[in-house]
Amino acid sequence: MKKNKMIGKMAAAGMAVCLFAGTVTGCSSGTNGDAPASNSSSQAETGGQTSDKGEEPVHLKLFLTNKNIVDGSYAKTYIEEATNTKLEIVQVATKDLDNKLNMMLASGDWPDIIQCETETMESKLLSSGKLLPLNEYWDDYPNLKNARDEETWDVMRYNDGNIYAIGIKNPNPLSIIAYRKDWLDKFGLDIPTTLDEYYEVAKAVSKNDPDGDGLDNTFAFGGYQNVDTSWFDHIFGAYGALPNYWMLQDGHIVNGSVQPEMKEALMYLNRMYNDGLIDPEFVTDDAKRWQQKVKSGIYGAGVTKIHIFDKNNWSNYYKPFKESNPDGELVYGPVLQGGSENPVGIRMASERGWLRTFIYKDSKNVDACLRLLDWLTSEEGNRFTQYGLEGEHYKWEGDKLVKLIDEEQTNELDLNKFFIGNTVLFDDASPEIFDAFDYSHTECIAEPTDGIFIDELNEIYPKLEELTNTRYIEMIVGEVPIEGGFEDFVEEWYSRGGDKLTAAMDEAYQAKQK
Amino acid sequence: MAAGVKTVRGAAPNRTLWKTIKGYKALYLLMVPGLLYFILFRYVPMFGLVIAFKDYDIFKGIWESEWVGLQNFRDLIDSPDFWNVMKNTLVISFVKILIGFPIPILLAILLNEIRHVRFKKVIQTCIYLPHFLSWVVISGIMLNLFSPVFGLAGTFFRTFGLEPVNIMAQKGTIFWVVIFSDIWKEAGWSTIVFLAALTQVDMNLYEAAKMDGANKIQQMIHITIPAISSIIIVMLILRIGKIMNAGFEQILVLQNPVTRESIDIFDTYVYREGLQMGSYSFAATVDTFKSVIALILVTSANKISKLFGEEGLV
Repeated sequence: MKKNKMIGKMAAAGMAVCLFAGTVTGCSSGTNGDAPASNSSSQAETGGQTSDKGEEPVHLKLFLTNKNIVDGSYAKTYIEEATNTKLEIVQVATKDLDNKLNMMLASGDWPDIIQCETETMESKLLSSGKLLPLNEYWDDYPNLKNARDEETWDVMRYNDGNIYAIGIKNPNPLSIIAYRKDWLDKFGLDIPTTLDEYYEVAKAVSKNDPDGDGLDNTFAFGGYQNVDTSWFDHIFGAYGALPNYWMLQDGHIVNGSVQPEMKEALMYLNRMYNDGLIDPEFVTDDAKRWQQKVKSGIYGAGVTKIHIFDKNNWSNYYKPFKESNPDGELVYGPVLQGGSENPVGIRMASERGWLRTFIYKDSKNVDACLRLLDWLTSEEGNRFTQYGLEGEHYKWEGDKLVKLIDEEQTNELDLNKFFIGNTVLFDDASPEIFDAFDYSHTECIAEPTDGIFIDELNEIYPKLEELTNTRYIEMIVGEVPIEGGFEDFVEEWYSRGGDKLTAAMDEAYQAKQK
Repeated sequence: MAAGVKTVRGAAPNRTLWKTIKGYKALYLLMVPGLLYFILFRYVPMFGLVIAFKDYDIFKGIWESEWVGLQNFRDLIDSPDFWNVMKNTLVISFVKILIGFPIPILLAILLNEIRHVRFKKVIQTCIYLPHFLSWVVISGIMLNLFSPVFGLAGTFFRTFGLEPVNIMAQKGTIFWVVIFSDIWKEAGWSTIVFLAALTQVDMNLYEAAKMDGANKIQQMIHITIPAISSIIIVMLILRIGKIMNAGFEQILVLQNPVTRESIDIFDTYVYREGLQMGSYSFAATVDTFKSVIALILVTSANKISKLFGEEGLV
């Protein structure tokens, strides 16, 4: 039949369309974030500061979190000249770091310098035996050795006695329990010290329209799809444990997620949620959106970024906050009482530092790798990567550093972007931030298992962490009743490997104490 | 390609293969890029599937890794999430077909009836435009739109004196969000194929039907639908072949802690448990399992369509 043939052709055309569409979408995913180095940038001709001036710059491949470092930019070129290297930087968004690195390693493509964020990946790398023990070389690289004190290096020490990584040194913790002082004053409330007082404050800041725009758009606090990112810690901590956090109880290691006190904390949070005191979008928001909300100042009572206390606009929190709230003022508060006899503060990051950096053992240019790390961790290099050059990009006024360029220029020069084993400096910060740091040290709790790496941690823990987040949030928003739901969760947590993991963690901890 | 195959089949049997190829060299030449594509990107990577039967360690490489037999498959089926993921994949896909498949056909028939060409073109463009947006963008728009506090949905609820609900963050509503956002995005695109088929329908048939006094509805039932039934079947079979792919990108961006389990499908499960945690063996296992089921489904759908006297795929 003629028509039938026609339809056959149509079908073929249709299929072709489908295939084509498939191909196009198949190609679109993938390599964004990569910025393979081109050889366009100026080589080290203008004379580097290093002694081996005559040698060819060494090509190094770096795997870093994405800071949009551009080839040939001022800072990159300067670093390349100073260390006689040519840097090819693979930049990946922090949350895709593991995924991308796994794929690179699986295809045998080892970068010379590797950065990773999660302990899962770190543990995998450490046990692979493919990393360079830094401690064996650092007599030749004193800057690297002196970049951290003995205590920190001890936490970095892997169970074979070697040190393989250096992290970014930040103040710890980077969050703090804080309240909007202008709002407290407006309602005549004091900084709360107990859970009951806190509830009153939370209610006032969310329901009494503190910003006076007639809309119900302020909250005590929010979050982004997690309960283990410290933004809920003032409530959990008041009840004496923190979810997805290892704690010491009667000399043994236990996980905060499954402690019976958490049930009451969840009930408290559920009540807050039902009364509209927690931003309901914490279930769907991502970190970016949450950050925008913090900067716009809609949260009035809870754990927040400590950055916002720096009036010199560290990480760009204070300025946007002040722009949308000219009268806005923050004040920090203590750990809340009344939930437990032994309340704890908010969680801390690992003392090993953020974004640990490793060197690949079989790299052809181990020396150049070490040279680069050594320079970046030296006082000169560290200050350069953050602030630039004295006289040109900043000047000293007493012991205070004053920037001569604005943020846009800093960004353009690629300054403050090389986060490789550096120590974050506060030469230009306002005194308020130091007070906040001091205060935050009084209300935080360290993880006793910091620096312990065991296989179970890598295989079981990520799934349990996800389970905790899921179940906790379900209970907070009331999708699952807490009565019975919490007991089910605890059982599920243990049966999915929690018992094995806890035992292994405790064993490793006890072994380390001896 | 289809035409080429037919002519070869019709060729005299005593000719050698080479002569046949020579005779139709232009056609064969046209086939080469496609063939290369399939060999390079579809068949060669299939050897990588051996890692489904190994405990693949990225530091050892494919061949050095240990063989574990069917252990990965056993782990998959024993996993507490397996049945939930399986159920979600099938239910989401099935409902997407049930509601989403007829809509483009209806749209095509409706569009076909529009006489004003300009108007028709504008509508057509508008409905297939969302196809070109990525799910990441769409989810961003949806989050803002359905935000109970800052979004249009919140305002809407409040105007009617209702308590705002976050439909993106409730187990009960997220399923329908998945189904309808998919239809909104893809219906217009699928319409194109049917519209093209409709242009091939013989106009004389309609005229004859009109002479016999058939109204529009009757014409639609007795002429339009039978005329495009073959392509409907072909599209349906293709769609069934994808039943195990319930929409990875879409689900991934719509998942949050509350809705994760209610819409977790194989692809998102593999992404989380396999790729993000670096257990490639497990990922390959799930994918192999998925493909085998999809193959069974598509061949049986093909058989069934042939039973009903339609043309089918092969």
